[in-house]
Amino acid sequence: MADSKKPIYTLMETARLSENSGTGEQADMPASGATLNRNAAKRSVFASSVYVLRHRRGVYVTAWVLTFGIVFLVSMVLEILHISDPHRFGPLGTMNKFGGLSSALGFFASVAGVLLATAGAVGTLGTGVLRNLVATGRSRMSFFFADLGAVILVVMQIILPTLVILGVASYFLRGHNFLGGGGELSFPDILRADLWILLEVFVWTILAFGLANLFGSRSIAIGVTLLGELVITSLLSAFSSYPGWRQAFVGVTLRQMTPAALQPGATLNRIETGWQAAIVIVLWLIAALFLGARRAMSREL
Amino acid sequence: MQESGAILKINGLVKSFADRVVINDVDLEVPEACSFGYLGPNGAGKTTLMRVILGLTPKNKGTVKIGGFDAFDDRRAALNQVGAIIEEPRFLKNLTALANLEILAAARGGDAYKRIFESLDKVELTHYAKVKVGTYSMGMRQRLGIAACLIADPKLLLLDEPMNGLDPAGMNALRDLIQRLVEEGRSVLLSSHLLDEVQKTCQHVAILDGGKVVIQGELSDIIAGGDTDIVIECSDPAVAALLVTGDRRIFNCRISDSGIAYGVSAETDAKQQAGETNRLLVENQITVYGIACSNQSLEKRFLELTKKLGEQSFGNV
Repeated sequence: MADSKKPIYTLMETARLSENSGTGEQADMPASGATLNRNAAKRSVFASSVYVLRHRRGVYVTAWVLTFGIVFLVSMVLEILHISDPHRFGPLGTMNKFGGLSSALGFFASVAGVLLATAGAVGTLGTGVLRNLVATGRSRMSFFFADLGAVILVVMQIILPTLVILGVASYFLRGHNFLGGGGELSFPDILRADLWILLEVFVWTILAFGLANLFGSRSIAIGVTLLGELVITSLLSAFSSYPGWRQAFVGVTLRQMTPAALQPGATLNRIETGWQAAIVIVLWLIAALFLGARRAMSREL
Repeated sequence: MQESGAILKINGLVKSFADRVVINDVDLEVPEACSFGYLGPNGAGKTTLMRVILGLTPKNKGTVKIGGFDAFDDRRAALNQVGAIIEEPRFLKNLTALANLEILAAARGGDAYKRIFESLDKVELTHYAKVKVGTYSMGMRQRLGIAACLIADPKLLLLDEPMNGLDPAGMNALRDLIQRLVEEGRSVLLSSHLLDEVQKTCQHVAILDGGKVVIQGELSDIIAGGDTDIVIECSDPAVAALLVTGDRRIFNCRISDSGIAYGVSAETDAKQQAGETNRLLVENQITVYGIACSNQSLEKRFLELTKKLGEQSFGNV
C-alpha cells in the first residue's frame, strides 16, 4: 500500500456525476470498470435479501429445475407421445394427466420452497454476514422479516409461472372424453388445483423458514421439514383411528384438502370443515414463525 | 450529547456465560481521535467485549455509551457511529465486493450507499470492486472489512485482531491505514495478540486479565510505569552478578558473556541505580565498558501485568 494517501483516480467525482445524472441507470466507473448500482430496489433490506437469495445459484437453479423444469419436461414428453400416437396416448389436458402432474408439482415445488426457505433463513447467519448486518444497529426483527418476505417472493416467482404454464397448456390441450382420461378438465378444476399447490408450497416453505431460524442449521431444518412432509404425514394418513388428532398435524390437514381433481378415485377422510383446516394451518405457521423469530432475536452472534 | 472527549465510555460492564464471568466490571474510556489497543491473553474477554458493545450478545450489567448515546437503549443512534470487524471480516463470497457493500449500505441506511466508492478508494480496492470476494486474499478481505466499516463514516472503529493472517507488508499497510483514520479524527479500538504491532500502532492501551482491565492509559505512561532493564557490559560478569544481587532493589539478574543485565522496579530511579552499580563494580576492580537503561517493551509490561513473567525461563542468579 505504498503511497496509499493518493487516490488512484477521482472516483468520488465520477460517482457524483453519475448520481446527478438522474437516469436511474447504472453509472459506469471508467477507470476501474466498477459501477455503482443505481437500482433503488437494491437499497432496502428486503431487496438485499431477495438479491442474496437469488444469488444462491445452486439452490435457485435447483428450485427452477424442481418446478418449471420437471413440469416442462414431463409435459413435453406427454404431448410428444400424444402427437406420435393420438389413439394410444391422450393429450396433456386429461384429468388424470393433469392430476398426476399437479400432484408431482405440489410435492417438488414444496421441496423447492423448503430449499429456498432454509437458504434464505440461515444464509447470512451461516456465513457470518448477519453479524455485520446486526452490528449496523438495525433490529434483528427487520432482517428476519426481510428474509421471510424475500423467501416468499422468490418462491412465488418460481411457482406462479410454472402453475400458469401448466394450467394454460392443460386447458388448451385438454382431451374431450378421451378414453381413460378420467373425465373432462374444467377451468375450476385447474384453479382449485393451483390454489392447493400454492397453499401446500406456502405452508411447507414457512414451516421450513421458521425451523431453519430455530435450529440455525439448514440441513437440520430441511431434514425435519421433509420428515414431516413425507414420513409423518404418510404414516398418520395411513391410520384410520383418531381422525381428529391426526388432523392436528398440518401435513395430514393439507393432504385431506387435496382437490378431487388431483386425487381421482381416491377416498380420503375429508376434513370436517374449512375453518378447522384453516385453524390448524394458521396455528402451525404462527408457532413456526414465533419459535424461529424468538431464536433469531436471542441468538448469540 | 458528547461526554468529556471520550467516544466510547464503558462503566461497570459485566458479562457471563453460565457461571463463567468473561467481562468482570470493566470500565473503559476510549478518547476521540486515537488508536486504542485492547490487549489480553486468550480467553480474557476481548472479543466478547466488542460483541457486547455491538449488541451481538447481551450484557448482564453495566453501561456502554458511544458518542454519548446508550448502546443498549439507543442502539441505532449509537451504532450509527461505529464500524466493526469481529474476529475476521465476513462476506458473502459468491458476491462481488461492491454487492457486499451495497447490502451493508442497505442495512445502514442514510448516506452509507453514497460512501461505497469513497470507502473502496480509501482501502485501494476500487479496481477489485466487481471481483467476487471468494477470490480475495486475506489482506484484501481485511481491507474490504475496513471499507465496510467506513461506509458508516464511523467515529469509532472496532477491529478485532485485525493483523491476524496478514503478512508483514499487509501489517504495514494496515498500520498506515489505521494511522490515516486516526488523522481523520476517528478512534480505532483494536484488540490484538501482536503486542509489538500494538506498540507500533496505538497511542493508548488497556490491558485485560481475567475479564478485568488491569491498567489503561497512554502507551508511553504504561510502559514507563513498568520495570526498567539495566544492561552492563563488564570484564567479569560472574563476579559482577554476585556483587549486585546483594541489592534488594534489583531482580531478574542475568549473566551473559559480555556482562550482566537486571531489572529495577518503577519505584527505583534507574539512572541512580545504574550509577551505584557502576561505582560498586569499579570499587571491586571490575572494568565497566558500558551501561544502558531501557524501559520494557509493551510485551514485557503486558506479561508483568498479566502475572506471566514467572513463566519466562531466564538464567536467573
